[in-house]
Parts: sequence; structure tokens; C-alpha cells
Amino acid sequence: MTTLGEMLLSILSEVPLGRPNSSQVLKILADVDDKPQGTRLLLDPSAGSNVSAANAIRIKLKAVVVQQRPLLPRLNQA
Amino acid sequence: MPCLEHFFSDRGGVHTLNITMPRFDGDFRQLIDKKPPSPYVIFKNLFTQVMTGVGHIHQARIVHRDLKPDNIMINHEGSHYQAVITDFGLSKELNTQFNTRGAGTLHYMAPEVFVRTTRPYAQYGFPADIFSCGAIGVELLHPEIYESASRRFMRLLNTAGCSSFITISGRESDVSFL
Repeated sequence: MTTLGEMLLSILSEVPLGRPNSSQVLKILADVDDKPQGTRLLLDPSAGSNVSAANAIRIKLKAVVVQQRPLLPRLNQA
Repeated sequence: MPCLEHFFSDRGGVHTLNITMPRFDGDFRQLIDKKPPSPYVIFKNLFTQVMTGVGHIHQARIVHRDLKPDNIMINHEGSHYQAVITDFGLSKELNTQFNTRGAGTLHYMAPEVFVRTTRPYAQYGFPADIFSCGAIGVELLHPEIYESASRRFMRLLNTAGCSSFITISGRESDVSFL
């Protein structure tokens, strides 16, 4: 099972040839988990401020990371 | 193809051309601004339609190059949403990859399109549209984080002295390369 966060990360991959095409994305979407687990995106605190434009792009991509949130504790709370 | 914009008529007079287009309830931008209560369900539904449309234009060897929430129109009846891709003003036909100037909207622009300005021999192609769709998805699911990342991104660009942009719609993020 793929999470939405993992799918978005693969789409936002920095290497264009490694990025899935539309039919691959559709296949992943059919299998993606509807629950919001694993889709929380966090900013990378290590991003600096004095960088070139190309580095800014890389930092923009690195700013998107996936935090896997376990579903079990929330079920226990419920 | 229901996911792509259709023209109803082009009948006009001798000196005029009339283009009739369907009316839409709104666009993806308005949907994001509304902060829908169940964005994951809406995301999966709309993203499937958008990717179907993108796949169709890619099969026709066309790169859209300006996919963003403002260019995806939405019709909805109750909980059913229909997405339609519009604005092919920047789209280009290509065979595999091509050497052309970067164009699009900065916040949804793939890195390889962006670096095209500084690396004249860099190439980009169909995956650039896929990146834009991913950026739209992040904005729908986590608008606050996307906004924060975009603000930081623009600050970094200003710090790096990137002044070779021209604004084409009055918005800071809507740029085309010289």
C-alpha cells in the first residue's frame, strides 16, 4: 500500500527521468491509502538562506518530507 | 476527453470569430481556498481526473507547461467533482525532449524547467507536467505548509539575485523567462 505522501514525493522527485508518468501515477492512485496517514509534510529546518537559485530549488524539494504517522495510537484513542 | 476543455462553436461573422466555451462552477484555486473538510477524498477523485487528462495530452505529444490550480476548472454537483484542464497558451508539441525556453508559473515549475535558464543545454519534457500536478496536490492537502515553503522559496530567489524574470499576470509567482 502506498501513502499519498510517498506518491507526492515520487512526483516531486528532482530527477525528471525518475519521475513517474501519468499512467504510473494513476496506477499508484488506485492503490493509495485514503487515510491521511503518511501525508504530513514538514519543512526541513536545515535549509539555509544564503544560497544560489539552483540550491534554492533543491531546498524547496528537500522541504517536503514525509512523516509516517502510526495509525495505531489514533485507533487506541478512539 | 471529459478532462480537457472543449469549444462548442467557432461560428462568427466575416470579420469576427466567436468562441463559445462551457461555463464552470469555479477553479481548483477556489477549491483550495475553501479548505474542503475532506481534502483526501477530493484529492484522489480530482487528481485521477487531472492525471487522465494530462496522460491524454502527453499521448498527443503535447506538454502543457502551465498546470496550476488556476488552470484547472471544477464543476461539482453535491459531492461529485469534475476537473477540466484549460489554458493551453504555453503548451508545446514535442517528440521526446526539447530545447526551449523555460515557461510557466514559478511555484509549480519543475526544477529542470527552472534551471533551463542557467543551463542552456538542459532539457525538459513530459515529466515537468507531472511535477506541477504534484505541487498542486501538496497545495490542496497542506496549503499552509505549501504557502510557507513558497514564501521561503521566493525569499531565497531574491537573496540569490534572480532578477531575470518578468511578471506576466501581476502576481509575483507568475513568470516567464526572458
